[in-house]
Amino acid sequence: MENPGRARWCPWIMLLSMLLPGAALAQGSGSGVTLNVMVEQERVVTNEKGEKEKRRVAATRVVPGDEVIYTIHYRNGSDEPAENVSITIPIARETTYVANSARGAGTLITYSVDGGAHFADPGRLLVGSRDGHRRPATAADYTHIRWKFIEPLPPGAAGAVSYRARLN
Amino acid sequence: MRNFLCFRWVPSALLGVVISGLAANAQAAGTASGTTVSNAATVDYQVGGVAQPTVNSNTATFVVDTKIDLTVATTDTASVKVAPGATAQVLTFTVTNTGNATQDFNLSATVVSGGTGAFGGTDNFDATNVNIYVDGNGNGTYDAGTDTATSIDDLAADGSATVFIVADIPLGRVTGDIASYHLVAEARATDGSALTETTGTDTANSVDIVFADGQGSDTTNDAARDAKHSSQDDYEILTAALTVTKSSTVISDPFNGTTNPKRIPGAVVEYTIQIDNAAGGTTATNVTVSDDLSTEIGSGTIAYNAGTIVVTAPNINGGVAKALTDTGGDDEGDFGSTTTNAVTVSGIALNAGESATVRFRVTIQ
Repeated sequence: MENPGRARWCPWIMLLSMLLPGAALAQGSGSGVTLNVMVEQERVVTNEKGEKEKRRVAATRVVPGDEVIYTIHYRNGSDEPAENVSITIPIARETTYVANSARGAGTLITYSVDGGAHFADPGRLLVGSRDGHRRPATAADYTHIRWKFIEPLPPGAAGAVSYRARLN
Repeated sequence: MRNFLCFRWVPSALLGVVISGLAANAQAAGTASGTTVSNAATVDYQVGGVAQPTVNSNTATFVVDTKIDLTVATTDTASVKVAPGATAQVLTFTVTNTGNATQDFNLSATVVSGGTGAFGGTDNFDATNVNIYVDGNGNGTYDAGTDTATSIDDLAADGSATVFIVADIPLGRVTGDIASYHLVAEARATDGSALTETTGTDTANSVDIVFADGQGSDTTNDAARDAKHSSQDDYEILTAALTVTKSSTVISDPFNGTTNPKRIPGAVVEYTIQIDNAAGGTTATNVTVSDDLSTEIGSGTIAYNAGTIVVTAPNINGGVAKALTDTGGDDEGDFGSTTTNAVTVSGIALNAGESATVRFRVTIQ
């Protein structure tokens, strides 16, 4: 697996830190926490023994109705623990989240139905109109997924979280 | 596209409840072929209690391939009832592009030979002069001369076209006979050329073609994943079966009068011609009964008694027996006007199961 993309420093965050007296931008050496996203699909292939088995391959032949698997590989490349780690991904608008498919060891998983402004457990998400009629949100309404790590990630820790989506 | 406009916090009793605007809405036919679907994740974290800048991942993408899928369905809810000898009788279907790209569709009709009809029964005859036409003006009705295209051109994803099988019905068939057909549609490229499914090695950045169709009614010519689909429909004969029976009764003779009269010269004989329209068929209209007495009159066997024609038919005179003149043109019957020396009665109509009679009298010479 190749090294994921580089951290991007937002200029305004740096400015804010400089204005607050006593604030220090503590940063570990190394590249901090980095992510690599892969999108795959499952293909039924006949193996060497002539049996049919499911294999994951890069998603290159996807048509409406097909399911793809998004895997977000994370790594704490610094020599400090990373605290309150929270990974967020939007659900691409051409896809629909497959209910209950999100996975992430050691995380609490929440969802947003309002474009990422707010996140909550599935049981607490409602959709509806301004004039009143509301119903519980279903997987089709989710706009984002968030994995919040319960424990800090030690230096060098690496793993992956994932979810499945169906192409509309 | 999701609408984020209306969200608001609710009182603390429902803390954690999130309200959004409109729920998600997906297109029916699916994401268009060639669309690039991109996605990237972000991670937020702290080190030593200090928030770090949000980190972005790479962008993961895939390209949506072409899904070939279609549905052919007949819109007739029962067999199409036709009369023997009728022309340009129509079976109606729709062809729907359920794939995700614009396609052409070729059309063909498969004859069902002796198999089960689409609505039951058994196929036992073939129509003639079978043609297929696309409903060019989209009015759901076959318009000869207007609906002339024989294949579907450039049908968009989610689009539907109406297609007709048009054929003539041969004579000599009876009520309940069935001529059944499958309409087979085959998806083609927009230049009309045949499609080939992309198999083997995946091509990462170009658009592949995947056949996703199921098998339709024509299991001989249509398989799953062959870019074809089909549906079956029937012509069923509904006609009138008439039987004609002629009988006679002696009314009187010169010696016995009307008491047990015998068939001797001078006797008056009444002929009754009965027409029955068999039950289970359809209405027979413009029925004409004609009895040519030329031979018997010419040989001197009988003479026609003037003014004795009587017709009893459900559609004439309210079904009450009606006396007709021998003169032509003034009522439903005549003697010798339509045809010399013949009794002719026309304009009888019989529903299935009804009967009519024509009576007239002669004198044995």
